[in-house]
Parts: sequence; C-alpha cells; structure tokens
Amino acid sequence: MTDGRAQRWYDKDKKLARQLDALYRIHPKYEYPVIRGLLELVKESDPAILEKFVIPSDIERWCRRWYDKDPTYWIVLNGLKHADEGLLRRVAEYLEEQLAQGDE
Amino acid sequence: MGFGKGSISQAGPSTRPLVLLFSPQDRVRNILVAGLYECGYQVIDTASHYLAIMKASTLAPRAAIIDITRTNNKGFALAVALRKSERTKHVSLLLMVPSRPENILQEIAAEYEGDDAGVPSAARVMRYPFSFAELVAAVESIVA
Repeated sequence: MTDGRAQRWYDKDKKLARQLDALYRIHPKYEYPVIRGLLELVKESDPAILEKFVIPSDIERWCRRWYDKDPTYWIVLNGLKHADEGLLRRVAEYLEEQLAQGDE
Repeated sequence: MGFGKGSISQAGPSTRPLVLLFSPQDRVRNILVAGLYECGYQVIDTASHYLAIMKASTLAPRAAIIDITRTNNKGFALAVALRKSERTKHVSLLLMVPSRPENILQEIAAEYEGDDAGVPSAARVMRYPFSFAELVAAVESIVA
C-alpha cells in the first residue's frame, strides 16, 4: 500500500502497519466484528483519544484514506493517531490474533 | 461523559437523550451519528430539512444539531422553523457554522445567542473546525 511518497501515521510501527494493511484487505464478511472489537479495546484502554478527531468544514478534502470509508473506521483510526505505544502494541496484537482467525 | 468509562459503564444506546442531527454532508452526518451513538445518545439524522422538521415535531428530541454550510442554507431554515413552532421551540439548538461565517450566518448566531424571548432552550454556536470532544461537551451542556 505504501507508495514511498507519503508516509502514513502508523508506518513508524512496522507490526502495526502490517496488521492495518491486512485489515485493509480483509474480506468484508469478517471486518465488522474486528473493527467493533478494536473500538471496544480502545474504549476500555483510553477512551479519550476517540474524541480527539476534528471535523473540518471541508471534510471531503481530507477523506482520501482507506479508513475514511466508514465512520467506525474513521473514529478508531483517527483516534489511534493519539494512542501511546502501549496501546498501539495491544492493537497490533489484537489485529494479529483476529486476522489470523479469519484466515482459518 | 463522551466515550469515557462513565458512559460505557451505563451501557446501551439509550442512556442519553434523543438528539436530531441535520447535515447536508453525508460524511459529517455518518461520523457524528456513529460517535454520538457510542456516547450513548439516540440519534435521528437526516439531510432533508423537511424531514428534520417532521421528525422534530413527532419525536420530540431534546436537542437538534444543525449544520449550516456556506452552500446550503436549509440549516438556517430549519433552525428558524424549529424556533417558530409551538411543538419544537423547546428543542435546544446547536448550530455548526463555518469558521468565518458570512454576514447572514453572523446574524443567525447573534439572533440565537442574544435571544431573551423566554424560550427555555439554549442555543449554542460551534464554529468549524471542532473536535468531537468539543461537540459532545456542547451537546451535553444543552441537553442537561
């Protein structure tokens, strides 16, 4: 997904980037429980970060990323930008576990 | 409050009042509905100001969040209609307006902020851009 021209905010964490890329490719049949579970994980760990996203007046100009497609994705992924390393690690582990189950 | 543990512990989508959300912007509407739902609010949303008036009249929301954009003045018409109707004049209003509103929008803001007609509902004005935390705080202040 990376094209070398633009770094995504999660690219600094290779494991997280790998898992989010896998989430991007997940079959629609499996993605809803995963993203809902991710939302609940963040709510339990650091709910305040989920409220930090900003609504700009020209919102469509900013909605070019894959996770802008759905409001739950928007809330979770924009919230995770403000997460500490510990939470990001837990997120990566959670996705690794969930996405591995989807492969079975 | 918000996504915080207080609202999680209460659980369920109907722990907080019903709010009406009007915005002609699909993306704004979808994100705010999702976010407010997670905070425990019941939300009815629409991009049609006619439907918004109907829903406000029949469902009696505690508050109405109205998106007033530069290119679409239906939000303004909705706000005026809600305030004029006996059935909906009690509905608290939160107006989302551009960061540098044109004169007409400043007039709207001044009208609602300076209203002393005795209507119990308070009208808040929120200028873009704003964080979701700010929006939730504003909603909670007007539904309280």
